[in-house]
Amino acid sequence: MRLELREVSKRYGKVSVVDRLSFQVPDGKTFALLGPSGCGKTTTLRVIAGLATPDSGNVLFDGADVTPLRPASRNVGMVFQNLALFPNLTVRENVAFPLEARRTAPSQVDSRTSEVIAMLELVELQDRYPHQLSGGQQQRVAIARAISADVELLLFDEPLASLDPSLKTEISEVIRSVQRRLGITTVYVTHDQTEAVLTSDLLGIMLEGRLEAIGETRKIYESPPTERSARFLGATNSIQCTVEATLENHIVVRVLERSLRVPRPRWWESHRNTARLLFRPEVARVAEPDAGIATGKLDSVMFSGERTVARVRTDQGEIECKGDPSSLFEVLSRHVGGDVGVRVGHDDLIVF
Amino acid sequence: MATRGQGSLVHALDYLPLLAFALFFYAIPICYVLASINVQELAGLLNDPYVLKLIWNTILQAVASTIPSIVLAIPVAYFFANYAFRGSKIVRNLLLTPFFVPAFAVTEGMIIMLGERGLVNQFLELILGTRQPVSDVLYSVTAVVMTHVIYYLPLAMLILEQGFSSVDQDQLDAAHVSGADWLTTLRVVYLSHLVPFLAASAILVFAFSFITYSTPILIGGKFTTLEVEIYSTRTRSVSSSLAIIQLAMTLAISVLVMAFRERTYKSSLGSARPLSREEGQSHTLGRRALLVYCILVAVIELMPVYLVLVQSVSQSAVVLFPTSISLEGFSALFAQEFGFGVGFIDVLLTSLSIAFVASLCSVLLSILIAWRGLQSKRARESTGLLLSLPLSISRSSLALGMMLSYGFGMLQLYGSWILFILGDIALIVPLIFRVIEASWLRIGSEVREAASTFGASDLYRLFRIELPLIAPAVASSFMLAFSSSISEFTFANFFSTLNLMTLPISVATLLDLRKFGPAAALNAVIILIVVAAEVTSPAVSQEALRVM
Repeated sequence: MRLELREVSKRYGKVSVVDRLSFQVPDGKTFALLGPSGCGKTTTLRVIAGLATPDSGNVLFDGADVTPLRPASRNVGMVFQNLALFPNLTVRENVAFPLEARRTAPSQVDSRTSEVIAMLELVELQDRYPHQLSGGQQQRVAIARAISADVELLLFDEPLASLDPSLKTEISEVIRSVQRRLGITTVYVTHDQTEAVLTSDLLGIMLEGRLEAIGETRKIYESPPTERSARFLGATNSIQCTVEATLENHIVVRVLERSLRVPRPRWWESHRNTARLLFRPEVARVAEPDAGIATGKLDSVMFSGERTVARVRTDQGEIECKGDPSSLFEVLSRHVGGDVGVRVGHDDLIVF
Repeated sequence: MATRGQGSLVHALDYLPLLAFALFFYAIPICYVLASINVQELAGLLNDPYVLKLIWNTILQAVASTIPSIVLAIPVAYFFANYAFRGSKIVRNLLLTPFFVPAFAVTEGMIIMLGERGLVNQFLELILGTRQPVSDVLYSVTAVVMTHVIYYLPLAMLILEQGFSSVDQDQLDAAHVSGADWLTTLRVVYLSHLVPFLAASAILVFAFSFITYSTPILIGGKFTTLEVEIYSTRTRSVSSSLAIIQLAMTLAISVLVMAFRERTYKSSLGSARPLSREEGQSHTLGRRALLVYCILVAVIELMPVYLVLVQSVSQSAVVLFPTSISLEGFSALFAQEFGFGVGFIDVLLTSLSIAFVASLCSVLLSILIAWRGLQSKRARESTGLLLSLPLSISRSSLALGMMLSYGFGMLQLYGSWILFILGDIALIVPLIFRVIEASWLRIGSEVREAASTFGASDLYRLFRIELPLIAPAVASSFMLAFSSSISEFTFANFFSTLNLMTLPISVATLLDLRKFGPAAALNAVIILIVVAAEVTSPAVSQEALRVM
């Protein structure tokens, strides 16, 4: 089923939560809507589910306007942030609920429930109540319930928000495998970029009620189309540079008396003389003072498990480097207060 | 397919049960009162010294009841919010007992306590070495005020305890670490938190004392209030004028309660780190003194109920500990005629039947109102707000309105037990709605939304998910409704006839006849029913008391 939002707006009082939002999700694709808290992503999901009515705009399923339809008539499955399992029903009854609510024939209810319970590896737990399950098991039940009926659209509202990191990975894999197996069009809302990247084919970045960027997940992650989306995706370090030349696939920029070839974004205008280079702390390493793309004083060095976190103060502001392994902690600690450079792979630079 | 227009219609229907309830049980009766007013008479009443004195008396006794109730409750609330010891829950529950027992039963206990040969006089005679009764407060405003203090102190204590408990432990710790003495801590931490709770408890005790009815009738003697005067004049047109004056005043108080609740009190219930109660025995002198004070208050609070129970099994003069058990009071009940051929069994069966039907109807109506009211935030707020209004509204005025409208007016139900049921429903629904709504809200909006998202219709969701989840609250509400109905006095007094009366009216009849033994026996029966109903639903008491 192809999902489309056309110019959807939603206000709560004087606050505009969703502002003329439009996007399309092709049939069978998973679209992750990524954004900070309060950006309007959950409201968007609720509008798609029919739990909130847009002030203007339309929601279309396969081209048909479903905006006036009640949630019960939209044929969607949803995994809620707090799961919202029915505490008075067993695992099996929870999974069967969407089928029974849609008045499916009892024999079909039984067979489909068993099938989904087996798929989510809940056979041993099917007679338990939600409060008798662990967090991860509850997540599986919520997913099973969301897919048990023959739904056309699957919605996830920050389903992993309350899980610890190891469970997050496990449940992400479950979600991905279920999605691949069933091929249901899916919208996944989260504020966690790792979660979004892990689970989606398409990625949308939502800021202040508007879609800042949308496209294939990998492309958006590697080459965010706007500076705000790049910063939200973790490219928080930036330096100014001059543009020497614009080539077909690259731009030649000058930094610290050195020329660099960086990937050229599609939207790049060839007449520009200056640019800003953004990069993620994870790709930045501390180097010799005359090496790299920036130079400054090493302000602090911290040990953070696998990585060493260093802060370099340059004349363009502070740069955070998380690219060095923890084994370099002792070495770098001895250079605190001294002059250092910042080294970044040219392909990891995002130009704006 | 539902369109947006149909959606608006559905939203409008969300208000239908609430509006139907408000219209039938409040608007129509009040309109009948308004319609029977003589405007000239009303204008005259507002300048009548007797009526002005009546208003003044009503206000004065309410103020006089409020101040000691709050002052005496503060140390008790502080103690139970801060300290826990083995048996503290029992002491606390005993202390709360009078509020869960019908007011007329507590009033009989006060009659026994304050009488010529009552405990108070026996105690004073012992101290002063005289054989003449020293205290003569029975059947006066003083007795009314004393009964109110006994009756409403637990309510004030519950609200203030909530206030003390909401004091942020982090702030207290910060004050202690900063070296603040107890006075500074009291001023800076406690007082700033407590003011809304003090005001809330004061407003509520004042509001309930203002509409007091059974207490002044039974123990006030010549002292009377507006609420009682409306009953006394119920067969004359002046009654409607008095009712309108009382309605206007009680409505103003209700609005004040609601406004205060919305603006100040609710925001005080923050998410502070709760106080860590200190377990174990009280060691300091202050704590021991507080404990002694609390036990003393608990004993005084329990005394009226205890005396009624003792009197019911002892036909001798007032004693703390009966030397022999006598069931004369109970057997006298069976010989007593309360009306034209109306015996004890008739009264008991009538009361139980009315309470059962009224409770059932009230629960179903409350479920319907809460269900539709919860469909949207606006509907929920409107429902909560509108159903808060009747909590402290004049019962006499409403009873008069019901008598005029459904008793003699459009339905001609005077003399029928259906009129009693209608009166009970009007009073009970606003009370138990809060219990049911609170339980419903605890389900969480996501669970309800999940059911809708998965294709459930509103009705399927109601029966498959919501009703099973709120079933304990529904059962508790039924018991609360039952105990409220069985002990309802004001409406019963207006609607009862010599052929049809309820247990509370029979108690009043016996007290009028000075038959304290049978009255105590009957009160013991009512207390037994009420306590049994409340014990079977322990969670409900706290919910029901969340009047603010």
